[in-house]
Amino acid sequence: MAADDLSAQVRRRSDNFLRPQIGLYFGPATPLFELQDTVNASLGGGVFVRGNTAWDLLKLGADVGYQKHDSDGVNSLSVVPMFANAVFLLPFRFPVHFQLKLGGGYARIWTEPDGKDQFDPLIVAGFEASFPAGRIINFGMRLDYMVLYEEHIDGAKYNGYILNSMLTMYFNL
Amino acid sequence: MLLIVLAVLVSCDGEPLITELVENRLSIVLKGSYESDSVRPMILPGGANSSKAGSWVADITGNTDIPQRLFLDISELRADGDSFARYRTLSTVGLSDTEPFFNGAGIMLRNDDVRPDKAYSTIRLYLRKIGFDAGFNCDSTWNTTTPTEFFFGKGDVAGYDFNLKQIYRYGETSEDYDGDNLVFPMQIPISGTMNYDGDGEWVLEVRLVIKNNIARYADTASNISYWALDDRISAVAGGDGYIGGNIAAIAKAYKVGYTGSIDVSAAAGGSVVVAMPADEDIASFVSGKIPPYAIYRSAGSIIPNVPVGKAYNVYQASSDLGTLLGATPGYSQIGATVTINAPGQTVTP
Repeated sequence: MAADDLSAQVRRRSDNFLRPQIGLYFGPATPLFELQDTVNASLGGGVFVRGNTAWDLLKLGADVGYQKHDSDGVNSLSVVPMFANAVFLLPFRFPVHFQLKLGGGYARIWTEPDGKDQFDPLIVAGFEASFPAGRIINFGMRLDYMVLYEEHIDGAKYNGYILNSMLTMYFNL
Repeated sequence: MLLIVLAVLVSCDGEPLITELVENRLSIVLKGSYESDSVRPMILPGGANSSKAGSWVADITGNTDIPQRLFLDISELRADGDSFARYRTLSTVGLSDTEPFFNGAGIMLRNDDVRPDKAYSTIRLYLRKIGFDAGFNCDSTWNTTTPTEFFFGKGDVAGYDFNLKQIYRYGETSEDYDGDNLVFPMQIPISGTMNYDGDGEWVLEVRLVIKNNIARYADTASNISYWALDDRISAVAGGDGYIGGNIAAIAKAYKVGYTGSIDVSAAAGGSVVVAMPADEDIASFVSGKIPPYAIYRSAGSIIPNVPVGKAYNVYQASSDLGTLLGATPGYSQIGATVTINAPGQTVTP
């Protein structure tokens, strides 16, 4: 089956899903690698919007979130990820929508006990599975692997790696 | 991708905050001696120069074993209430000059750094357990029967945890009086405060006077013979259930590379030489309050790691350790007040 034919079938099935969307997400945010020993996992959340492109399988979106990772001691890391992203709908014939996401932007971070904050470059790769609940609402889960990119800074040894495993609900506008 | 590239370019002048968060600038060094550097040799109880050797307990006939190990179970450290070192540390330390805890090198404790630009004045050391081996259950005539044991780490060890007996009675007669357990937490003053600036490498040194400062006690209520810290600060009478108020401790902090040394090699006399901030009254360094800097003359004549820019008075004393911890340590000043004006400078009082 040609890719265009499959795309057309998916489009017919997913007409509602191919509308612009707005939604929110929340769930556990887990620091990885070096950060895992420094700060704890926590709950995070955010909002997002997505719009269509000329190619139906591709949306462009923007996400803003917040998560604060405390520790048992004085360490803490607060993150406000702000990133643009491209979301690709996998052209499978299946009731569940699977999407891949790649994005980039900034994260405003605050660290304690140093009491410092700054914008860090942010790279996000993600995967989403969503279940349509009628014509408007979608429920799903999303995995976002975020890289707070700091290794370009003099003296930096580590980036910050965080895996967000979020539940999401969003609306077809 | 363009957005990512732009983000990287714009943020090139940032600070490595993640690295700062993961790594430490502050090192905590825990030492078990009166001296901060050039530590006096270990003298086990019963040695030629032992001051007490448990002699106050005349009724124990069977326990002639000398302790060989110290057990430390540290829950955490706090600085003025900030939980900056919330990491449990279990240490079994041999009573030997080869042990870093006793030879002046110190053992390292994990921490998360403290908050910059805050003047910390007190360290709270949370001791879960502290004990020596060579504790014994005794019969009614104080002949030893079986070794005492307590849970340490992952299992029982032969020894006696005297932590719960670290209660200072103030002459209080009621045994229900429980407000003065001095080790959970133990409040340790930071000499001159710690003004951590979040830059460079810092050292926080915490000292507990354990070396050459142990004695044997008898718990007459349960017929147990055990070793603990000597009662040189707060006298323990025979039959007392509590032995608290006898831990001498001090802390000091310095920034690596911003220190100098005090050379006392030209000064005559004294078995120990100590230095303390000039704005502190020497008369207050009695009854367990010990100076932040101290060396044993026979082991060295340089006081290292003295911060730049602060005035210090230098004293000597010919007293033994028991007298130094008592009410009249016998300090006498050496020369004039000294101030180190540049990193690496050595001054002579």
